[in-house]
Amino acid sequence: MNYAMEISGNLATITPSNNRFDAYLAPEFRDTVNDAIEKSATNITVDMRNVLFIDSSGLGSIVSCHKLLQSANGIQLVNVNKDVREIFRLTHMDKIFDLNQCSPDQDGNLAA
Amino acid sequence: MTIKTEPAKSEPSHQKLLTIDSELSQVKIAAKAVRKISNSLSFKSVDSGQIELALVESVTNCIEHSYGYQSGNLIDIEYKISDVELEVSVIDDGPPAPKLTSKLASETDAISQLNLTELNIDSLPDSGWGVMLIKSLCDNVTYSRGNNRNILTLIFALSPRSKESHTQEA
Repeated sequence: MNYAMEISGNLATITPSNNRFDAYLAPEFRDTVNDAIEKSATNITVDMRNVLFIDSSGLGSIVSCHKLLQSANGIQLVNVNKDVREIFRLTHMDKIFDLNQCSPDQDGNLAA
Repeated sequence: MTIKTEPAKSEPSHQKLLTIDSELSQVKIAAKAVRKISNSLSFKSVDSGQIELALVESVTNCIEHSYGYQSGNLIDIEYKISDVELEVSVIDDGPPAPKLTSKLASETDAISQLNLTELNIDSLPDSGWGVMLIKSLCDNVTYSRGNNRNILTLIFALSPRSKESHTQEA
């Protein structure tokens, strides 16, 4: 289990426990998101606090899950490390995802 | 992307860094080894994280395209440090990679051409970012065949400061 998941109503928070989010672990991330969707989650937050390294496969898995949830709220990223942010910036993904958010409160609201 | 290099007094040779199996779980081992090398140097425009990412993308590309995700094949990582640059080569026994050649030769930097807004997210690729990233992260990238092997070489320019740093540590 490289991803912890908490679900409350339609809110799901997925937290990668590994510090690398790469081609090896990206398929399991997709599976975890699909699992959350099957459990009726429409608002999915990924808590990136443990992730120190992301590659293009990790990015790609986040993009594909964001597309999957586009009719709902998409994927929200919180607690994104500075080095990981740099990769989002390099690929212009910082225009798609708000990378300045911290953990959601009990109601699922994200604080900047 | 092209670097002007001055002739070196004595040409350094490539050194074997390590050999890994063609498994995605092994990529982080190569990443750690390359980070150790790059951490010993200072770079003008790139950092160890960027070098690690370029290496990870290259090795992952090997595993996917040269070996079709089949384990039990070897990938060699070699490096060479000169006065002006760090070269990291990723070498595999897969078939020739004409697609990689054309992607590397393309003048188009697909990343910079992407017009990303929430409105066109459907047009975003879920995959295929690897070579684009490699090109963005390296000062130069070359692909060649030698002894029936694919050789992808990532080149990072060193700043004058890094020359001093390397000399002191050597």
